Amino acid sequence: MSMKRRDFLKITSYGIAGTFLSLTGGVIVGRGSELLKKMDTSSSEKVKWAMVINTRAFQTEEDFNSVILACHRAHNVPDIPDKIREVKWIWKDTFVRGFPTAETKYIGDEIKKRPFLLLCNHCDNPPCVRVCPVKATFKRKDGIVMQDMHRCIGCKFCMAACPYGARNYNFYPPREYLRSVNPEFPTRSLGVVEKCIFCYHRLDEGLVPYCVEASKGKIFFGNLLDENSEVRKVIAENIILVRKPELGTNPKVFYII
Amino acid sequence: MVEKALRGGVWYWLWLLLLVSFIGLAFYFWLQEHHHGAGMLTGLHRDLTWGFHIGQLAFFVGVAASAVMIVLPYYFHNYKEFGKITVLAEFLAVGAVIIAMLSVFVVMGQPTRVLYVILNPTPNSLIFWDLTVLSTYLFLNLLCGWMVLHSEYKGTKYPSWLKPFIYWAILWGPSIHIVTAFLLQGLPGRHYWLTAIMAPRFLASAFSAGPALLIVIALLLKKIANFNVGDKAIQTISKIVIYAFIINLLFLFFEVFTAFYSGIHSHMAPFLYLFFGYEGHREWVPVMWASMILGIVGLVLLLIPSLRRSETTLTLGAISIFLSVWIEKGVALMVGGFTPNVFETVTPYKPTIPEIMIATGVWSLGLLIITVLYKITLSVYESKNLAVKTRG
Amino acid sequence: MYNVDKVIPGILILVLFLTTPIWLNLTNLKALPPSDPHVGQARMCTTCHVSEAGPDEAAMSERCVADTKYMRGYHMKLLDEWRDKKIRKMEVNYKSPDGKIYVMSLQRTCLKCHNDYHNFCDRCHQFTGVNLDCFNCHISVKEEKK
Repeated sequence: MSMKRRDFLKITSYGIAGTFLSLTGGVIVGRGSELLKKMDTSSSEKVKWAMVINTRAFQTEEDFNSVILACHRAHNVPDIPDKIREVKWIWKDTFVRGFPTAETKYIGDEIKKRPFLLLCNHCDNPPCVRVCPVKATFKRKDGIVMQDMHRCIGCKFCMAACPYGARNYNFYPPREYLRSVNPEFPTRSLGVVEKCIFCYHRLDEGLVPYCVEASKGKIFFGNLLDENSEVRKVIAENIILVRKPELGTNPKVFYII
Repeated sequence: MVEKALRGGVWYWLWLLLLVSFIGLAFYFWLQEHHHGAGMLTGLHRDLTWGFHIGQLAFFVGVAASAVMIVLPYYFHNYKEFGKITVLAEFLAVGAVIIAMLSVFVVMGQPTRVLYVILNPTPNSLIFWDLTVLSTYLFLNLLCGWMVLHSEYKGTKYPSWLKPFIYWAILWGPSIHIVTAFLLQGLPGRHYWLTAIMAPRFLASAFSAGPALLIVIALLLKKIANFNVGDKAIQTISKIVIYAFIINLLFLFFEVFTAFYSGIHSHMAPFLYLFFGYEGHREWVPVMWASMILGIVGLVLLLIPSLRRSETTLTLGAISIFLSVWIEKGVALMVGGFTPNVFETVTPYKPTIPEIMIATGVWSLGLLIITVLYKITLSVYESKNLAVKTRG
Repeated sequence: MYNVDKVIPGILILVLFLTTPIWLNLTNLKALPPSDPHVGQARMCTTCHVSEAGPDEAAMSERCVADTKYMRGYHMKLLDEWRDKKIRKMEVNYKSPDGKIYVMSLQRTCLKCHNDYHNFCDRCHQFTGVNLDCFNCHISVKEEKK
């Protein structure tokens, strides 16, 4: 098959023209999305709740227990003896387990042994919300990652998605393991997933979460979008860690080291 | 045509009875689990929330998807040898999809809320898509298989309106498995799953294990029901199995290379745990090596042409490959994904007897449906043969 | 007719199967229990179920979020609405038609008055054959005391 010179030139020039057209199109699309971003005012939420835990201030067993108990009692969290199937909204763990990617061999003994309070990070980009098939877990406008226990079908997909082990499945009938009952808050039933809800019910009524209240100043809580808020101040002034930042989940629980 | 499933010998009814009793037993254990809680009856725990059952989802979606390897040559390339086995493959897919969907259903903590998935459609969740594509695939295979068989029964060609549905089913086969791989491969912090090769590897392992199962079934039917799909068809399928299996092994090698050459600890850890043990935990090491050995046995038996042509070694090879992939995908895939856990430590998992019994019930239900559909298929072909004989 | 020995039993089995809800409920159904004199003291919904002891004055003074007729027919709708507003729409308070403000909460509002789950909720639901699962999680005061 041979091609005439004339045809060859024709096809080549079409090709060149086509390339330029596509480039122009690409530039328009690229610029366009930038412009759209500038015009976008929908992300004008005013509140984004965040928590800063001063790990240096937590010294004694009592410091931890008072915080954990305040939360667990108020929310009727069952006390399950089977440790690999327990339910916990906020708990104590080591640096190595909580921050496995930040750990190196030569880190100081004090840090290695220092217990950390772990809880749901209320990620800005939460994988659990992405995977939930029924919107039982969703992000509120103020950034709280909510859990609707009425809706949860117990598929446990969110627990596979959460890189922080912050979610709990009710492997046991929770009511049988309650030590005390708070009549102001519901319990859960078998077969649903639950977790820390950043005390949304208290925030909506103008109160701070139970753990913050019980910590007596060792945990800071506030609005991340407010430049003058206390949380922004302590984040700026201290050395701060978040758990597994490399995963792009953008945790909103910060740790002062 | 349905009436043909109601006439069978003693063994047919005994087999159905056995399957029904397994289903009943599984139902009992399932009720127990929802009464006492998964903590009492299953091996699942905080750090491994998807165990044996979701493994069965991954594996049997693969078996279902693999029907495409038979259906595609028959309808797209007009490969006549696959005429008889195509209906078998389509009905196998029907049973496999049912096993896959039920495997998810039985792990749900709140089974009465299952319709919430449809009432609150959530396109950002892959479970929603998985449910959509799986139920569509179930419908398509049932429709295509049934219509083709029905026209066989009437002695005509299948109606022309079925053609788009057949092509749709062919496109849908790989899709269901890709979506199932996406369930796992998009999760941050699960290093064993977070790999772009998960979907292709799923397809490769499916296209080896599924047709391998079909070979075993075809040879079994030849023996017990005197139903021959044709030696040439079986030989072609065995070649499909071996090519797909080699690609599957290659993909495994790519995974291992990337993890170990990059030296990223979190990516190596699941492989170390599964194959050599990690932090003193060696629960799954023997199982993984069993899968490897079975795989190599199957590879040898199906790669050497003379062994492939002998029915005995072919059956052995097909069973080895099926089991090898089943262990790797139906069991170890979940264990590797969750171990080491998010705290980079090991919380061992072992499926419990109730879990396995529930899975047996799920398999039995799938097998029951496959048995009934096959019984109809075989009877249709048998009566056709008789008609040919009497007409001379 | 052909196959009478198979067709007739088949039809019978089908009819029995289709009517299972009736047969199952036959054993469960209880007629409305006679109103008992303690009902008033328990501050159960005296506005709905006037007991022999007469309506409880104390309970009457504290009106419900909506009138009796509406609540009797549509309480499930209201509760559903409350749940969605509270959990999903960041709302806290409910303004009743007569302008009063209530906190939207089953346990902190409704159950404060309607604190006798067995006499208040169960009585009607048993009669109508409705299976309640609210109290699998939510706690009524009486239960808590146990």
